[in-house]
Amino acid sequence: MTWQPTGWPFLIAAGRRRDYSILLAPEFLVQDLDYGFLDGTVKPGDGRPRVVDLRTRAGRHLTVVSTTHTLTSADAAATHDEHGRPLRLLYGFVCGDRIAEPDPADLATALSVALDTYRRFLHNEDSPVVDSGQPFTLHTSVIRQLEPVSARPPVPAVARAPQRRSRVGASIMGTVAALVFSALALVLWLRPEAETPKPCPSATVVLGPAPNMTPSASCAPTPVELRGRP
Amino acid sequence: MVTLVLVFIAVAAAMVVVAVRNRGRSAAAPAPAANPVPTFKVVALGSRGSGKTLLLASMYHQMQTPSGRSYFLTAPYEQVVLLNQWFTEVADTSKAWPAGTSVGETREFVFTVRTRAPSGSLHTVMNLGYLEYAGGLLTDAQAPGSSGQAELLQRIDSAHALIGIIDGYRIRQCLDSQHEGQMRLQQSLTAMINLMMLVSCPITFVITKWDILRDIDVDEESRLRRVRKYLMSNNGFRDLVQAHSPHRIVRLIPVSAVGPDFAELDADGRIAKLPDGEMHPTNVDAPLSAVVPDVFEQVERSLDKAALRAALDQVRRQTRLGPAGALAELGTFMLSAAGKVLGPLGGHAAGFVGDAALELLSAGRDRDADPLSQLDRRLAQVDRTIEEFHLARRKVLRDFQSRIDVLEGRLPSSRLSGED
Repeated sequence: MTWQPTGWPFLIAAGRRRDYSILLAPEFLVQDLDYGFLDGTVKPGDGRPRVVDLRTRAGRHLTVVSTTHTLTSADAAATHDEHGRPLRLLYGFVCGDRIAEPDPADLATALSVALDTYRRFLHNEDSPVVDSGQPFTLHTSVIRQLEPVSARPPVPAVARAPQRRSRVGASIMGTVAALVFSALALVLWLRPEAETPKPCPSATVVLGPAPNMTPSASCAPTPVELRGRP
Repeated sequence: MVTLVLVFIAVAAAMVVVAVRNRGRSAAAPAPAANPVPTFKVVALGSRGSGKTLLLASMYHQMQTPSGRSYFLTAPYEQVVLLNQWFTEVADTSKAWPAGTSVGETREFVFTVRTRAPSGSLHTVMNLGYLEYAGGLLTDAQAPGSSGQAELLQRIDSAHALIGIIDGYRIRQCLDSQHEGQMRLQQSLTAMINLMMLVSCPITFVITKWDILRDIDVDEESRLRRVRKYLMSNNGFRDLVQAHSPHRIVRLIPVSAVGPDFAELDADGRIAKLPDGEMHPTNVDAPLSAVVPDVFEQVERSLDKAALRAALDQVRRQTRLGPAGALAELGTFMLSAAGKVLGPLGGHAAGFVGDAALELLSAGRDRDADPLSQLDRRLAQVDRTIEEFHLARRKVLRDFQSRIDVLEGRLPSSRLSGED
């Protein structure tokens, strides 16, 4: 059986009276109360899709594809809020794999689900609920990630610290090497010259272990790594 | 020969290591601030649709040129583009009002106050940080894991001044006895009052959409008095004013981001743009102009008079530092004595605070009083560049104060006190 990538729809929107809030979020994030990051990540745009890779508060590595749809009279009865401002849907889908170029068909699927949620919200604006978005098969080509999104991975250690350690280590090792060379040179310089030159001994200078430049297992990427496209 | 080569290698290696380490250090060290002036942080509190974004766009549009003032505002170019885009969208009568701000659009605008001295030189006086955010962050419960509300509360806590945005549309609905307006105004006031009760910085309430209240009374002061009376009939609002006004300035400024000739209420009670509407913003510069004078009035109220006098005497004795040094000394004293009110300002705050004390404190404003007038005179005798910068900066501070004095003269009801 062929593996197929999966996406989960989401929606952030304001109502006639109520301000922007998350109205639809991936089911697994709703269950774990781990969907709040959508609020700060998803921004209105000019209609072109925006792709952001991030790590959630619970440590999940996800890709968020979002775009903006201005409501029309074909979508819902209300197209403007009580202040006469156009209503916008910030919608899209979340995926556990990396995405280079989202397929418009997937955004259309997400919009269809988002509109259903939004219409229900308009009927009961004062008591909004967060709908659980169900998974759908993506047409988008993805770069598969091994980390499953439905399981909560461990919270990563603070990033970059090992990098700093290795830079300091390299610096110390360099200094030690220079000192050893200097000391060796000084000894050789001060040493009384033999009357008859002897061939140099093939001495091996041990400098200690080379600094480990490979990131350790705890060297995770920056906790929230954003990659936006206009 | 071999020894010489080894020495050369060792020295070269040592030099390379030292160079690499030094480069690493210089890269890690923070770059010196290109613009080392103090920054006053302002947060405007207002519910959804109260007009925060329109006020911001209109305020910048009006203050980006001097227009009779000694100063003007600049901002990072990407922010200028955004502000102009918002303003253009508002001004286009063929388009709807701009869409509301989402949580993801929260951003801090940094306005730099600049002035041009008589010589033509441009001087940077200070920065004003202004937070733009979704009004729902103030009134609505947030999704689990969302950090926007916590960040907003942190910004409020460290603000030098708060601007409470009261939606004039809601006031209008209240005066027309509409339940919806009363409910929404109460919701907004409750959220603001809850936060404002805890702060210790000056507070300016701004009534937005003042243009749609133009027919509630004959003149602007009468209109403001009526709105003020209505607001003071709200227990929470009155309690807040009574609690704060003995210690700090509390203002009530009517503003209109579009002016009286641009929009009106339509048959459905919504604010609609007039097809041939023209924008003539009203009082949009006043809230920002009030920030520094109000902070320093609070500083003066917080300082022990005898201690201030002693410090001024000490500054006079220390004029061996030179006038500029003496002003910095005065600023250092003020920062130390009123650090809680002034908060962290960043930049070269001491010189700024010294100039502000000279210009804005009542003792400083008395031109005949010693010892500040002496400093003033001596300052004029030193290096002309320093003199020009100090004088330009103080002219800006004087303009801030003057703007507020004029407003208070025209609208006495704009100063709130618990005596109402």
